Amino acid sequence: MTAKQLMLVARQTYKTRIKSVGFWSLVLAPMLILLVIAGISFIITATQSHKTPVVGVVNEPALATYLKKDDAFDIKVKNVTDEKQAKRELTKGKLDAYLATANQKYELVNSADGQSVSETKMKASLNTYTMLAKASAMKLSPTELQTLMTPPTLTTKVQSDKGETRGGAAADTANYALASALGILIFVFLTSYVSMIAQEIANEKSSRIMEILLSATSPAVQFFGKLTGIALLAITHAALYVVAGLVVNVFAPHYKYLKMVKSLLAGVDMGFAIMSLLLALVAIFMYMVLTAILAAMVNDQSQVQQAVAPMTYVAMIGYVLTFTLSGQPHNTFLNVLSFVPFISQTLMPARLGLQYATMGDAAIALVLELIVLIFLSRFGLRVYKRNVLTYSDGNITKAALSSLKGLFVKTKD
Amino acid sequence: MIELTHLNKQFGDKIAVQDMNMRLNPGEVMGLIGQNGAGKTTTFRMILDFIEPTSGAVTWDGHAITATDKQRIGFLPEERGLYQKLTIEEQVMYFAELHGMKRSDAKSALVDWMKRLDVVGKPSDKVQKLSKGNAQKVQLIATVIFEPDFLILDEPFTGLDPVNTELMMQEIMRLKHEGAMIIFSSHNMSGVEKLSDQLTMLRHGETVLHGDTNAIRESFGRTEIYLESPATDAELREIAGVKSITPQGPGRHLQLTDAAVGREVFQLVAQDGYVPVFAQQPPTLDEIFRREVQGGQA
Ligand SMILES: Nc1ncnc2c1ncn2[C@@H]1O[C@H](COP(=O)(O)OP(=O)(O)O)[C@@H](O)[C@H]1O
Ligand SMILES: [Mg+2]
Repeated sequence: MTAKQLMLVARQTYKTRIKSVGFWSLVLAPMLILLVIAGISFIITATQSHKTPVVGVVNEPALATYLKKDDAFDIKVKNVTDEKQAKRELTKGKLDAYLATANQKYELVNSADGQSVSETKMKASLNTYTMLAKASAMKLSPTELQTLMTPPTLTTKVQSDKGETRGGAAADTANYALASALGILIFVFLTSYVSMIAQEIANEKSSRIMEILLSATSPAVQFFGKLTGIALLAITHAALYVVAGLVVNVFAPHYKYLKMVKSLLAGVDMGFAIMSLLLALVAIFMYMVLTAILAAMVNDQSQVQQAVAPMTYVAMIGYVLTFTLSGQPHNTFLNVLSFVPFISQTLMPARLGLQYATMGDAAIALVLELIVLIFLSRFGLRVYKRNVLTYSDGNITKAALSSLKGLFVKTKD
Repeated sequence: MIELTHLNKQFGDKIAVQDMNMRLNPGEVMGLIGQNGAGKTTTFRMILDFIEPTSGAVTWDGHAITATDKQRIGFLPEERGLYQKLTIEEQVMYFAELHGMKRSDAKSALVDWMKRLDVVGKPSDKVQKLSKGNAQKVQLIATVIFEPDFLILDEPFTGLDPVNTELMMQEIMRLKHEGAMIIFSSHNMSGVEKLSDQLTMLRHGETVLHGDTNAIRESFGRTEIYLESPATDAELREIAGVKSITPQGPGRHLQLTDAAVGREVFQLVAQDGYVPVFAQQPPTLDEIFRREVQGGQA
């Protein structure tokens, strides 16, 4: 197997794929989805009859003045002399709500069909207002008032049996959120690239170009060359997203979703991120190798889906199981599955994110993946060689079974 | 030199190729002739290491064919295929580079080739737009652009129009003169005779005839006579050893059991001292093929 030919095959695969509509629609799909979501939320916001609510304050001119000055609270304030008048104006729709006071108790009366007034904000404003009123009654200095108003600080740490992590609940949520997001990403990546490599091989096999290619090279060159090409394509794909993220970061640093992602990522610790990515990457290679083997058994294009479907199902199992994970730190079944290659790529990061597993556990899962990858590549090459020029007229299940046998029978490679 | 020694291939209990032996020197053309299922493609697949022989060996200058050797092999598979979505250039470049040719060399060579073979279109045209005849030419270019030392052509003439058949023959002769070793297969004898230095005729995987093209013919003896003469069929039939008489063009074709019988036939037809045409020849390869390969079917 010559390295030069390997690179040629990889380059050819990469070049034809990167020019294809399929690749770019795959790249753009998430962006399109984001655009659609952004568009819909924009339309909803634009068409909302969003007016500033008008709140009547019954017979409390000082409070009314304070509320008017409160910038954080987006309301229009109107002085009303008594509750009767307030009620009348509320029914007429001139007020959206009114605030009445009786024995140090406040009552906010909302109109059913008016603009809503935030209860939380109202509480906060009233809180500060009464505090200020009491402070001035006690004749406190501004510094004393400042001290009084400073809230206590609380930092959280989690002491679990897996060791202490900083960041506490925030990091937990971030890690878990990342693991779930990664789950979706891995699933989409996996299924797309799996079908891409299947098409690539099936196309050459069914058009009989494979014979020409193999006359100049070897099955090993074809097998690993194609995998390298598609792997490079996947890396390009990921790089495009990073670049897109950076571009948004530079030109629109206040973009809502970017902020969301940033604040989410801020909570993630590096070790976890790297481990998750490694697990995912090795898993993608594993799936690709397995697909290449299956695709070599295909006789024509129409069987591609048949060959790829099992891959998708297995990938889906790993993905769906992550949802059952929460609150089940000691479920033996899930714990064992999280080490199983082909499933571990989503399950292990999720367990890691929830602190149900240690980095050591994840490392074991990674090593298991690597072992399977090496095994698959070595023995897959044999199966590939056996099948890639065999055009059986039976179905591919039969071909698969006879190849399984071939896995354990030594042939010349 | 390419050498096949005691090459056998069995699929289950089915024998596809049996004890095949051949030697092919630079500048030689070998025709592998046999009906469908005779084992021609299987032989090529063993040479190319697509499948493993059940026993026997294939060697190039005395050693097993290496990865570097393979780059010097041009192969035209029985079922042709091109990437429909690539351009002619991308397509041919890729194959040329896999055979170790430099990109720039391949690029200029392609232009020459397209001119020489009269391919209608530009290198930047998509393969799927090509007419069948032009696609065949491009396929040929892709197979030989890197000037292979060893050329394997599986049924190269099947499906070609007369113009492309002629082109293919010319290319084979050109590469032969440049010292390439060439082996091709065919399921009939037409046109094969003048092309091949050696022939191997296969029947059900078994080599029924093998050797130098002229020697094969001569080995059958001059048992055929083409005759233009007023002598009647009845007169001719009286000679023992005349197997059959069939009309052929303006004359008749006689088959003899023994070349020596020709003398008696000549005496009969030359009785009055004149005979317009009397030609005693070995059987044509076509006849040999029909007799040895097709006739032996039953
Ligand atoms: N992969 C295979 N499995 C089983 N039998 C095969 C296989 N390939 C070829 N054969 C059989 O071997 C014989 C020779 O086939 P082949 O070499 O393709 O013939 P040819 O090329 O001369 O037409 C045929 O009977 C064919 O059915
Ligand atoms: Mg054949």
